[in-house]
Amino acid sequence: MDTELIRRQLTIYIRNHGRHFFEFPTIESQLLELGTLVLVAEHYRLEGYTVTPMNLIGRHFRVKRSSAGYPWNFSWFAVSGRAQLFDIHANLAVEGAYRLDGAKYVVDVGVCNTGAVPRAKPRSEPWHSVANAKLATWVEAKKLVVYPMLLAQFIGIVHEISPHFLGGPNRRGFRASGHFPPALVTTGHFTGGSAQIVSAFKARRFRTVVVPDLDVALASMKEGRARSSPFRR
Amino acid sequence: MPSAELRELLDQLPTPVRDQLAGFSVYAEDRAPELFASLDRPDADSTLLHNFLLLAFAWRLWRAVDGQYALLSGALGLLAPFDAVGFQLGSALYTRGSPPTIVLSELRSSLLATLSRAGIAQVAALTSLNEVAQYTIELTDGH
Repeated sequence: MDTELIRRQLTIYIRNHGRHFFEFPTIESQLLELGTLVLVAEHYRLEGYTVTPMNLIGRHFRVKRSSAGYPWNFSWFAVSGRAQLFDIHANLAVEGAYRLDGAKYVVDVGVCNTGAVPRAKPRSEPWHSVANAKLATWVEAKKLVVYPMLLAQFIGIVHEISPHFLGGPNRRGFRASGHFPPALVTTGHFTGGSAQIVSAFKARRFRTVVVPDLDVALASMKEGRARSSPFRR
Repeated sequence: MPSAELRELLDQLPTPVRDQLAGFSVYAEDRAPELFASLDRPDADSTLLHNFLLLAFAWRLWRAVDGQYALLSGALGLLAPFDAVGFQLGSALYTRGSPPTIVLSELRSSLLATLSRAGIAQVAALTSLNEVAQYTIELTDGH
């Protein structure tokens, strides 16, 4: 193994693409949002559903990038092919699970029953969020490594939005529909004992998924031909 | 702690990319004893470790570049059967010929050629740090 040759070649590569590497972090941040949305869409495609982009704007799929704005002004994916129909939305506002405090949370990607999100601005009552009972599952995406406190925060979010995944039974039809449980997707790897924490979730009866190294997971997605969903680990 | 060689490579990268790869190098170094033990090399010497960290750096760099490219290719592939040309994120457009797509394509094809010239084209086919360790043993032992 010629380490000097390797070092020299990598140095040339990095110097030749210095300008591109300055753009890379911005691209990576934007693609994290897109990648998570597409990962979810790909999951349902692999489950045998038809996944259709909806509300294209100027022939582009306009991704909702923050909590601002209404979902009907952006694009989403419609999931069809079985008895139940679903929508996949980015930055989706959802009701909290407890209905005692009017809590609403914005998940990075939400999967809900079709009809839970209006297709256009409602004429009568304003729309604020998806009813908790109509939320099938969701994903939280982070441009971070997986560390213990991040896992604790994620479990806290599950507790507020979908507590039945923390030791309770699945809602009716959940398994048959091919859904995945709430997921944390990160761009980094496990650190600081976080892998062991995740391993112990099963013994604690937590039904959640943690997908580290998103770019490694996405390497299997070549032109929509992924062989297995990373949400089925 | 990255070697002087690795530090020299890392220093040429912008901060966010540098931090990501430096963090991964620390992670790879932490995992090295366990990985080599599982491959029947519990007594991995400094040469093997040094080679492993260099290959791990190259592999992580490849995964970062290829992963972003694969993401975009896969995403555009999802839209292909429909009357859609790409994605809009804020003011950025991601289509087959848009500037960000071209940047990723160039980074990827150039890195693939670089790995080949460096004699480590196989890095692009590795799927885990365990495989990186195995490949390091093969190259270091001259197989």
